[in-house]
Amino acid sequence: MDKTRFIFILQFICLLAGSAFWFISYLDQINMINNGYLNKDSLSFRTKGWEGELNKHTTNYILMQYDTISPNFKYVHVKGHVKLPPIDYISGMSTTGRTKYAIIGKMVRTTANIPKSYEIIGYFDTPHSYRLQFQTWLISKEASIDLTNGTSFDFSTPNGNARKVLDSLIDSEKVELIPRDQFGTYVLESNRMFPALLAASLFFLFIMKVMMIYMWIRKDNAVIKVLYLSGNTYWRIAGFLAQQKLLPYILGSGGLIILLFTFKFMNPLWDNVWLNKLMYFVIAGWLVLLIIIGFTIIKESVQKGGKRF
Amino acid sequence: MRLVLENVKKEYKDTLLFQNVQLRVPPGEMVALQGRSGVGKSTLLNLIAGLEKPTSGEIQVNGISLSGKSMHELSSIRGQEIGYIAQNSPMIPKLTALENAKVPLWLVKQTPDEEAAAVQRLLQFGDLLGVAHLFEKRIEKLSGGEAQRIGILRALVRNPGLIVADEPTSALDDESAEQVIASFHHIRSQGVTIIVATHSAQIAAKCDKRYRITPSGLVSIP
Amino acid sequence: MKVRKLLFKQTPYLNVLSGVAAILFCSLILAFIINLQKSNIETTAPDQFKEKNVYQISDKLYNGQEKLFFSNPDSFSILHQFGQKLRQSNKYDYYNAVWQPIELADFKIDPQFGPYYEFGKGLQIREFEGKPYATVASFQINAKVFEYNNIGLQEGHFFPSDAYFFEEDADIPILLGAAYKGIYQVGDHLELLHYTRHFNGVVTGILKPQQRIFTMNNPEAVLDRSVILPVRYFKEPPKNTEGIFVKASLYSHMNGTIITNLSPMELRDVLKPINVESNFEAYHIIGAESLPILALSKMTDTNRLLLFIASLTTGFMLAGLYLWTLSLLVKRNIPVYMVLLISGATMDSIQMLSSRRLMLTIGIASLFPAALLMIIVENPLYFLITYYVVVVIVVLLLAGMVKLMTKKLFRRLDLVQQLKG
Repeated sequence: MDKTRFIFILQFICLLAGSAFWFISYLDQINMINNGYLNKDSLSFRTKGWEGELNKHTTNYILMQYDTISPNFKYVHVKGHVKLPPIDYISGMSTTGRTKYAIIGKMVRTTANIPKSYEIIGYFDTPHSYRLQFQTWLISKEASIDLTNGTSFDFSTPNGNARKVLDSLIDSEKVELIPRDQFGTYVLESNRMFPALLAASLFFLFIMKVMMIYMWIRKDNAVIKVLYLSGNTYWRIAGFLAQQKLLPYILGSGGLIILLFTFKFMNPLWDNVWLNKLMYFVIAGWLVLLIIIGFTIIKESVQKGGKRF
Repeated sequence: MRLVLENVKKEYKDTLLFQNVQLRVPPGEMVALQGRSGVGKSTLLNLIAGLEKPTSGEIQVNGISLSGKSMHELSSIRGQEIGYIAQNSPMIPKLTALENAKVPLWLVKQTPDEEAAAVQRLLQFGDLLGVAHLFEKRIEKLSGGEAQRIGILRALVRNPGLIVADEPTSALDDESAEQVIASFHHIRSQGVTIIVATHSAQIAAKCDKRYRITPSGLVSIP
Repeated sequence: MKVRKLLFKQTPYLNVLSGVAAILFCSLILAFIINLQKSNIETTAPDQFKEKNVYQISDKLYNGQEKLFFSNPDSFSILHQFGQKLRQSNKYDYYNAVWQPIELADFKIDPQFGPYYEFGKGLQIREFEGKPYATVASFQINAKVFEYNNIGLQEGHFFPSDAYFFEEDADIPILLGAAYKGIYQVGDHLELLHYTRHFNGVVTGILKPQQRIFTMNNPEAVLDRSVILPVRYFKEPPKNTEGIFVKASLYSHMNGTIITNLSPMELRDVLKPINVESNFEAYHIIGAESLPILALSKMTDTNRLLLFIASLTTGFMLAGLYLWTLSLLVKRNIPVYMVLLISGATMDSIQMLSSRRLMLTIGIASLFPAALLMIIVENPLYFLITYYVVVVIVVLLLAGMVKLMTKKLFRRLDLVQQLKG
């Protein structure tokens, strides 16, 4: 019963950590939507006159192309499985099976300039993002750049290092990065500060986790002593404790991660950074457990011997 | 200190442990309680020490009735009048033997004279019990028997009128047990009443009276 | 006190970790309070625009109309009077935020500060009286702009109240966007050309990063790479002979933004007497698109609510977790409690030990973030009071729960039974 309780509380800590990581990513996604679907790692650039086919790459990305005179009219290249902004689809419409389609904001005044090859399939369902509400996206899977569609670009990828991915698509000497202002909730100081607070909470959670693990292991001091006095070696005792503590803990963590993966599929965010960070948090817990097992065995067996204290 | 038990009964969840326990112990007398394991010796001692309440009956310690008292009041009486020696005296790790013995003194405000008297008592009984040379040692470094004797010292530090001892020599060798008995005899001469639960024939032989606990009360052993 | 020291000695590492956790917990409480306060302030700016109508005054003086109007020798005076009466009316707020590039001499900046950088144009440089001047992005704003937007400074101070009136030969106070930090500093003197006329300016402040203001063309005009000047109104009607600077200034003074509860018809009625008194009617009243304003307002409100809920939830979870670890610490001290019990301590006093220890731990831990607050923040009183109110409530709640928990634990463990061995 005690073992179950400790495993439960340790997994609860991991769940809280996962929630914190998830919320940081969720907040960033909201910020991204309010910023016209550009996140803080997105890049704005010009191609110094270059146009042509993009290099092949397996990474997922969104590349928006537009003219600075009408920046709300965008040609959007989508590669792979990338989360689009919330869309209110027209009845019977979806992106399935389409290579070209248009999504427009509810405040777009005219659709006369939308080429016939792009059928409007829905509207941006983003009431807080006035930027998206005025935009027209002509979305295609074509991986090429034609400068008649505009000379300015915004690049976003959920796969981490945006610059690295962009360099793999277009040679870096053909690209001129331009600084980009952030808008919407990205600008709010409270919003920028909050992830830092959550990071501090995560540190708190980690301390709690270390304390819990320490107390969980120390509960078995008597077991260690008895095993040692009965003639078991250090490694044998370590193996026994690993089986008793580490294995159920890993299994519990595994269950939690499966649960969170399922949640991720049902409710995907722009990126999976939160899951990666949670994995590190969980693995750190395993290491802490191993280290504390190691030290406790030494203390309770070799150092104390048969003494009472 | 006089100890009186009248018609004391103890039940645990409808299971009768004992009833009709009658006992009168005049000041300075040492009484042994004997009986097989599980018969209720420790429970009876706990009732006398105010750690538990009887189902019914009267217990008087130095004329003070323990009946109707709250646990708070019983603790206060225990602190002032009774020295309790547990079977495996719990010790506080990371403190020295002397610090462990002095714990009861931390719970009361003492004048400098009282404190000095308490320290004197500790030294005196420490010599008697053969543990004075261990005072500055960490309790973890002491053997089980040495720690038990520190527990006995702790019970004596506030100069109680009644000593309640549960198997005080169970972890001790014959020589150490003799030292404990000698210290008990010393305090008896000062009017301290001692009631001790024991399997040891050595201790029982040194007591003024011996009783066996049965479910229907105490039976005197000649 | 001795007993508390003794309890600390029993599990020193855990107690240190618990202390660190308490400091972190208190720091988080303070940080959440400050952050929520910030988010409250952030809603005030867009809330000012909520349920208000925004109108742009736009003159009709172009081509033939312009030529005809300025053939009148009193045209400057007319425009001056119209602009003056517009901004002096108490029936609405007159908001002037003019995006107008200026030229800086002896510039130390790179192309991103150019007004057309996003369009692919580099810095435009020209010579004036033997000096090179670069065209940079700039806004001229009046006092209402500061009232309606939460503009924050990282250094220096805002424009003084007399900055909004034109004084010949007086230095123009200048605020710089955050991107200028490190290039110029407060107190630096700059030479600039505004509408082709030479002025001297002095840097009075540098804005915090990502400060933005509402304009008709851009609901979130970011000021990071801009030079901000005060709109300088003329005290006396200028003469027609004063040249392009005066003419352009008069245009910018009158083509402002009106923020009001008045409907379009009501506004027209309010402006009618101004038209008559100034003898000027050649302008449009253009209603602003309300969606961006509403969206901004809703966005900041939602942000605040989201942060509030997240802070509260996080706070509860962390407090609960901290409580759980305290219960484990209590269990670790069972041998001590047994000794105290047989030595005459009451169960109540033993149970109180844990809650008193918690109060002491958090009491001491709370001092660290409080000390940091007093060092970092200029007027910390409000935050300190709120912080300690919250800490006291949290401590009382936790202490009560620890006491209950300890009682339950002691009932379950039965210390007396444990004495029997």
